[in-house]
Amino acid sequence: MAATPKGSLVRMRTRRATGVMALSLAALLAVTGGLGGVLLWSPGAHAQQSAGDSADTSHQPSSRLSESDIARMLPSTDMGAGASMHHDMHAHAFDDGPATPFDAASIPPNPLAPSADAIGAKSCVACHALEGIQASHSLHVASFRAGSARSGPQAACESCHGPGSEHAKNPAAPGLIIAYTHDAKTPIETQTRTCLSCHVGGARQHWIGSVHQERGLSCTDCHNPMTRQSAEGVLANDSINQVCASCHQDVRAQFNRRSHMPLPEGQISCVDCHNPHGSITAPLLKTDTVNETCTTCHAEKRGPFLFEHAPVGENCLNCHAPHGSNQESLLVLPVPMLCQQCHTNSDHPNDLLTRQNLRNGLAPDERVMGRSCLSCHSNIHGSNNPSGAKFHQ
Amino acid sequence: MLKRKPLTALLGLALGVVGPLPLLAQSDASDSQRVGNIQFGNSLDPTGWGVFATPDPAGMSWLHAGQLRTPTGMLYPYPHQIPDAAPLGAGDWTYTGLAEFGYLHLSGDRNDEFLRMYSGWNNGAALGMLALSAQNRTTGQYVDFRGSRISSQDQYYRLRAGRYGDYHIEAFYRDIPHTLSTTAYPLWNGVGSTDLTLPNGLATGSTPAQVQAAEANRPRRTLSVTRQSEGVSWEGALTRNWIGYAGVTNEKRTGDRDWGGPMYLTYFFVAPGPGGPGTPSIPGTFGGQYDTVRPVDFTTTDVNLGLRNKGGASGWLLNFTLTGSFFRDHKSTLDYAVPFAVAPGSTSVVTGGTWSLEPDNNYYNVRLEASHPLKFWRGQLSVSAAYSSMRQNDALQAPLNPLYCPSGQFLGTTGIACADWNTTAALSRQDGDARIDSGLLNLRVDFRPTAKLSWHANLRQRDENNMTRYTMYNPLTGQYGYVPENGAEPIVTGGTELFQPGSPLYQSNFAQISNIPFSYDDRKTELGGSYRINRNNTLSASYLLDHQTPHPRERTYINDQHVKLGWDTRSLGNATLRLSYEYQKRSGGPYNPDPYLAAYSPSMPGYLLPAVGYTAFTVAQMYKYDMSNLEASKLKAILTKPLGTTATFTATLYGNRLRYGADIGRQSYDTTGADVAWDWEPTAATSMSVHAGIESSRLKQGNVNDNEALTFSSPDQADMQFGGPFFPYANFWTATDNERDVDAGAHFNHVFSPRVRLDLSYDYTYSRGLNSYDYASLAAISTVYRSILTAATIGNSFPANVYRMQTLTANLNLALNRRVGMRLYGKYEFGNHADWNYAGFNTPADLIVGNRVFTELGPQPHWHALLVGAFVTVKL
Amino acid sequence: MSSMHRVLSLAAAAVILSMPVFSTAASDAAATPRPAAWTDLRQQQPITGDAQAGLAKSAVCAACHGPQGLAIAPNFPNLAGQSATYLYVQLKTLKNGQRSDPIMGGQAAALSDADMRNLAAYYSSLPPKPSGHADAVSRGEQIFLNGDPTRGVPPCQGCHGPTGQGPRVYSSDAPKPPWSTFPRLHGQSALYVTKALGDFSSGARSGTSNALIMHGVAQTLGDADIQALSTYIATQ
Repeated sequence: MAATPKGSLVRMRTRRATGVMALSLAALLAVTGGLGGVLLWSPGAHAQQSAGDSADTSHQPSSRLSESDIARMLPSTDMGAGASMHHDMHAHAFDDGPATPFDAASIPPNPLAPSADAIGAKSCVACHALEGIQASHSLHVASFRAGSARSGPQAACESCHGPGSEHAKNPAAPGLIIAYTHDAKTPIETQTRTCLSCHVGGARQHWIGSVHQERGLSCTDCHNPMTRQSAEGVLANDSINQVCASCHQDVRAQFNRRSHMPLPEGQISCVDCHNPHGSITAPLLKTDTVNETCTTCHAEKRGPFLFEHAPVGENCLNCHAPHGSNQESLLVLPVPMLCQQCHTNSDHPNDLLTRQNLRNGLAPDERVMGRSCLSCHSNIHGSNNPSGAKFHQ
Repeated sequence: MLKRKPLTALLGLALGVVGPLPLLAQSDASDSQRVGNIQFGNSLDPTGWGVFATPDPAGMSWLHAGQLRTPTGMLYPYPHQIPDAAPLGAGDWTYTGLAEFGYLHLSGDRNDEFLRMYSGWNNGAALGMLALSAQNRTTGQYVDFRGSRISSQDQYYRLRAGRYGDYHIEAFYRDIPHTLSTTAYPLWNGVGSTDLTLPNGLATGSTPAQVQAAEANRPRRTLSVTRQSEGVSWEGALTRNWIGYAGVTNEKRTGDRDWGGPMYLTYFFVAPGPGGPGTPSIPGTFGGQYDTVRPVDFTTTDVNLGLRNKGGASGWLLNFTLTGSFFRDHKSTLDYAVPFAVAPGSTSVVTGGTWSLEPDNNYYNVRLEASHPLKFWRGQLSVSAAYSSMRQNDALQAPLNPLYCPSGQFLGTTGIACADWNTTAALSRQDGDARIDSGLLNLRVDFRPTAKLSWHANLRQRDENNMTRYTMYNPLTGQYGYVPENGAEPIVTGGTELFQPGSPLYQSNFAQISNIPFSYDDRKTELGGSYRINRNNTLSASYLLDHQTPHPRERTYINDQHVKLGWDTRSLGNATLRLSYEYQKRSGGPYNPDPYLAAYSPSMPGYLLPAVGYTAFTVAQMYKYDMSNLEASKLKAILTKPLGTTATFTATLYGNRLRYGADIGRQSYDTTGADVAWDWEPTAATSMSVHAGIESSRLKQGNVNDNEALTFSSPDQADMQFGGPFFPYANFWTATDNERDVDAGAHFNHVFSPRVRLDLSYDYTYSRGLNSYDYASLAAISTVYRSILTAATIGNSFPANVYRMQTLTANLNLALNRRVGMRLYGKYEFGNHADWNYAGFNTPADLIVGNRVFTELGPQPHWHALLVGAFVTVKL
Repeated sequence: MSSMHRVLSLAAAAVILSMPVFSTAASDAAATPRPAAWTDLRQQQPITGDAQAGLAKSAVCAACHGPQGLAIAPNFPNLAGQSATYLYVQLKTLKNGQRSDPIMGGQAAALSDADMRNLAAYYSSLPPKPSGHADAVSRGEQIFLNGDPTRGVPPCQGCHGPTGQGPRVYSSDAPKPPWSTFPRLHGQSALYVTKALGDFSSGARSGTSNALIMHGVAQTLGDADIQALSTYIATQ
């Protein structure tokens, strides 16, 4: 019965799609299978590694490191994060309690001060007293501080800024400390590499090669781990949107247009859709396609439908401006012109419609008034009605 | 306190990991991987953080005045005052808390659509902020809560807890309002349900005057959707290098929004007004067009699982995620009764129409990212693979609704029996059975052979497989195709979308007989690199070939070539300039204007070509803009210039020139814009910024009216050629959308004394859009208007679309003592708006135009509103 | 661009000047326990004065600080060759009580701002005490040049210079410390240095933003360190 049209469509459809899909599936399966094994293997590897790091393994119950183990791994400095500066922080003697997660943070080498040694956070905050106070309330340093309150021998300042001895002797000389600010002589790559040495993978898996990396941005262009400036994300401004807008002024302006994503209203942020740390898409989307990002919140438009509208499945941005537009519903053009860019089809779509077809014109026309084309073709994103081939059911 | 890592243990067990979990692990809580629910704020405080934004007069350092700058050159704001922490119990826990509550009052045009778009303003009590945080300074455990409530449709609460560097859990609840129209006067009863019924006194066959009288008394309604969501998630270190993530969100959208309801075209049946051309036409009495209201009752449940490795001994950075998204539509149909007969007289059986709203759907995605350093040239290999599947298998509706086309009746004189079409027995299958799968593989290598040179190569292949196959076949009648527009079209014109081999009535009908399973396959090959000339200058270049093979589409393949050049420089004094240029050229296979014939009756055996052929599908010379020979240039410059030690000037300049290589279809799209901003923070007590931007854009398109006189009457109707008899040059027309945007604002923040802080903001937005048109001759307009309209009355443009909004916002914070303060909030907003789609809809009675029923008057042309609030702030 | 900046700055400054000035010194008592009143030296520019006029006013000073600015007894500091801005700031804070000293408080009380500038310029213009022969392997030198990382002591030379004759300064667009307000230490008597470090450590001398830095630094030092440092500096 319906064999012939079906058959010809089958011929039309994907012969080539299966190749890559099978490949990606195979890759996924292989890794899923291996994952459990690696997971089991990993703690063992860790134990071996720490055994190598530490001179004496007899103090290690299971694979945990104690604070004294770590102390032996670090240079002889007072690594307490400025206990004297804080009335609420008291120095304790080293103990053999379990170390905090940050205690083993290493001190990155500073290529511009190769001979520098670590001097410990207490030396740093002796001069940088106020920085110490402000930073100890930021999410970032608070986590270090949590360790130091137990007098954890962690490196604090120098785990980001590199060894400080040369800087302490000649603080104004450029480059002697790993610095993250405008006048810093530290190359951007050294800056980002330092951050990424802890903040590895995850959302930052694709930092290398991302547009922000290629255009020479540093982590501290957006983040300020030295203060508690933002609700989250240790940002360099009060909110994600303000941070992004400092460069992307044109995009910020689009959010003030007649229809827009609820960004000025504080209900959404740039980072709800974009991953500023990089992704495998050019606009740094969090998902692999535009549509997968949009349909996370607009799941009803995902379908699939019995009848698909070609540009919808291809890319939401064929018709919508993602940030804001002067038309209703973020459309790039007023309807009917939007539709008439493609619909030159014979009969009613390709007529020139004019001001006289408005409600107050000489010849009011449903193709212009109100929702225009969408008055009838309302299921424009796809229809699941057996009579919905033209999206009007 | 929270029990330590219950989920860690759970997930650990689930994965079969037994034995002690080593503590020495780090995770970092970055959400920038998952879409949505990152930002919690509202119109009262868009940052969700404003109550804490009092600058600390001590500044950042005893060593120097002022603030340092970001590497690019923006000033870091002065640090915020640190709230006093108090001990919590006898242990190492300390806490801070803040509550801000008070009253909001809105006056003026309280119901304006733009004022309420995403803000649930209400007169009444509001919770500005409730913030509690506690942390244990020895263990690094913390609890963090923030919440705010403007009204029951506009509120959020979020709890985070965890241990620094180890794990964190999050739970949230939020309501986001979205107001779609505040000037809706739906004719129907039952708005918000799946069944729209006519108000008392109206029945199918009413006259426009009767409907107008009923409409004039309909109450004003607000159409809006509230997005209510809640979620929980956990992220934590499983072992030294493995980090797990699990999260569930559940989102419920409820409300209603404007929708349609076609009963066949009515414009076609007009006549000149009593005074002849130049007087308002007499609307047609056939067909009907209905702006209805549809219900929104959705639930979306998302489940995310993730596992990643930070690169331990193996050196592999792995990121493995599983996503499931389950959409459920609790009201998946809409029935609407109609007041007008689609054709005058007793032949008009159809008394209503029906919609299928969105079906339930499931989405699954499994994704793996892996990267590993390479041994040479400081390289890195990155592999990403993903497989996703979108599925839907909702029960299908009957083609016609027995309510509106009861068994025993026939559609006009066509002989189509309602009984043959008003049950699901009329379908070739009962369920949607729709599915699209896609696979992605992305391979990338990055190298940095020297400190100055880096280059990369990227290969990305993404293929889709649309498996949905549906044939419109009615086993009851043996017919292919469908009865369009709820049966209205057959009644009005006798025309159908039915095909039946061997039937004299239907064997030559041009009808769509199956769905079209669109798929988009895409291979991107990119090669790029950057070279650092010296400390201050870096050049970058890349070439991308985007080879797309969409099917079935107008072109079997498209090659989009992009060349990108970039220059980043700090050689202009202390400024940073980022300049980029992109050139794009698209080409592809031969353009087939009608590639969909396989889904239409002429591809069927038994199809008999009519003597005059079938009507040309479209004009051969049209190029759809996603498939046209696009040639584009895009230039952008972003300048950040420090001014002294306390100010920054930033400027953005951009221009896009897109040429689509088509006369018919989109021709060109140009955008030019500039933005400037000046930020100043002379002391911790004062900050100020001013910004302004303009943008202008111009989109031009061409189209050609078909020569309607030839339709069904001459073999020339099959001629697709532009310039031929069916698409003559005389019928050509163009439309141009010119838009101008201005956006400006000034923000001022000053701490007068430790007790008095003032924030003032002024924002201005203005946009003007002019849609003009040009045409070769009056043959470009519909034949039915040629006796009504003249060149003089048509003019050359629609009235301008305008959107202007000005907002003045003030916040005065007064500290009464150490713990208690006051916040006085004021926002004055005014604006004007014009949208020609809604021109002439001034009163509810205007919503009835002949056989057409509209619902919305459109946004108010002018509005002003004053919002004031008084809040008490208590530090707990 | 810079002219636009100037116009904008002027306009904004006009707005702000018409408002009550927010003094950082009057920081909220509710905030973290910081000294109640201190002079913010972070924006202090190098001062100028009339050395000749200062000479004319210097007779009283010479009684303790010596005719050539070299103290007559070890409990008084040498003023010759000292940073003029440092001297000016000290006189100012002695006058307003942010630095308390039974003798100098009275002496400074009578001085006008111009007097203080002139005196500072005068003593700054005098030849400093010649360099001595400090012990190159002493504990004092160790602390002065390298600090003591095991106890969190930063090296003194960072701000006071490798020879105690002032910091090394490099050009930069970034905000800079008020270098001119940092004293030159070399050759000050051990007694004076010991007292000064003790005062910083105890908080007795905490009237400037610089003193807040020195408070943190001095607290890292033990009595023996102070002894060693004082001896080293005196012989620098």
